[in-house]
Amino acid sequence: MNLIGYGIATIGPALAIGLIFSALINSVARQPEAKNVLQPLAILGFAVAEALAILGFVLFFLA
Amino acid sequence: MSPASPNLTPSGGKDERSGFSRGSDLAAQIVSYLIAGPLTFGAIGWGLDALLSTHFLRPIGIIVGVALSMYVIWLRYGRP
Amino acid sequence: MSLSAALTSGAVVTADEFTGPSPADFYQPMWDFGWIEITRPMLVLVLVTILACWIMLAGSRNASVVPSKGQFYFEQIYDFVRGGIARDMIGPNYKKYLPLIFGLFLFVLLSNLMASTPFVQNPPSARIAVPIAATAVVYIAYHYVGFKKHGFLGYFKFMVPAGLAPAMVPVIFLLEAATFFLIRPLTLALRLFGNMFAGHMLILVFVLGGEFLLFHDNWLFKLFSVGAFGMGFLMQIFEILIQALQAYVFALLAASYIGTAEADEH
Repeated sequence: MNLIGYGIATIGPALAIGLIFSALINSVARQPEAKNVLQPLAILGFAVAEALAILGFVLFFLA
Repeated sequence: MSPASPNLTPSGGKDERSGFSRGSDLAAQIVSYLIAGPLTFGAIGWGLDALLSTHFLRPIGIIVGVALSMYVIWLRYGRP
Repeated sequence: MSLSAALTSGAVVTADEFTGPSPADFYQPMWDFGWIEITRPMLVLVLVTILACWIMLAGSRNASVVPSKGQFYFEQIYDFVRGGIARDMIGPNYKKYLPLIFGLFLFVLLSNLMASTPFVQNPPSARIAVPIAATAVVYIAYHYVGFKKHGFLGYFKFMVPAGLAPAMVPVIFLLEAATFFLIRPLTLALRLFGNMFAGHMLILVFVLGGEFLLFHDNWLFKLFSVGAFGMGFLMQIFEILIQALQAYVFALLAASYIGTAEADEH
């Protein structure tokens, strides 16, 4: 049951990470010189979204 | 494989790393940090729990670990 | 061959109940000498090693300015690893580490592709020992590089990022040390193992399910088995993509770790 819960919990971060990087690729394709500013922002957003998946992973072992 | 504008690498140019793989390892690095944070501080909290026979330190350790690993990520990769 | 072995140990075909594949299906002993047991992945691993040595020897022997066909393909792969992985990740003095990265890439690529090679169909990298061994090589390499470059205490000092309040240093050092010494090799090994294991398992599910449906009494089930085998075939093609990608990622991260240890203070 924990396993199923963790599987469901990964859906949200997966969607979020896909959205973040699709937005990054779109922006860099439109304006390549903005990559320097955009990449750290995308990385931070990725970290926050991924943290949820990791939290689910840790709690899967705890609960 | 020559870069479009060589002075735009995150480390401030004058860097030979500029092919198509540049930056594609960042995601893996960040995942390592995010796993390391909760694991390390959760383990510390768990140890303190066993030592002091309390129950609340392990979740606190996990939360602190996530926060610290995000701080390190901001420190290392989040600044332009 | 791997499928027939899996069938005898895991799935029951004629009974009315379908038993899916399990991790136990990956354990396929061939000869038992008492003190040592030769399993299928071990045999495939020997094949992979011989193949990798042959490719490297045949590709680099009689190297000429106007390349032959084999040399051309070999140099394509080599240039991909050199320009696409090692130079990007390690930086200006990447040439020292190129043999290690290229050897790792070729080894992981071949042992992954063994999952889709006819009559072998058993990736050695789906056994946890193989990724762990490959990761151990990377682990020793990048810590050796780091300790040599920065000195013993300097390497530990190098781990903590600059621009930190002094009160935070011990806490962050703990986190960084855990990342450097524990989590990085762990994720490196588990990523390869998980991808290969899950991919092989997925194909097993489709093929075993198709076989179960085909030998079922109900004629409607026999019809559905075509779909299951078709999905198995599609997944096999998809797996070839994943295998090449995972070999690339493994070499990329190995080069990235060496590059981080090699980097100057920032």
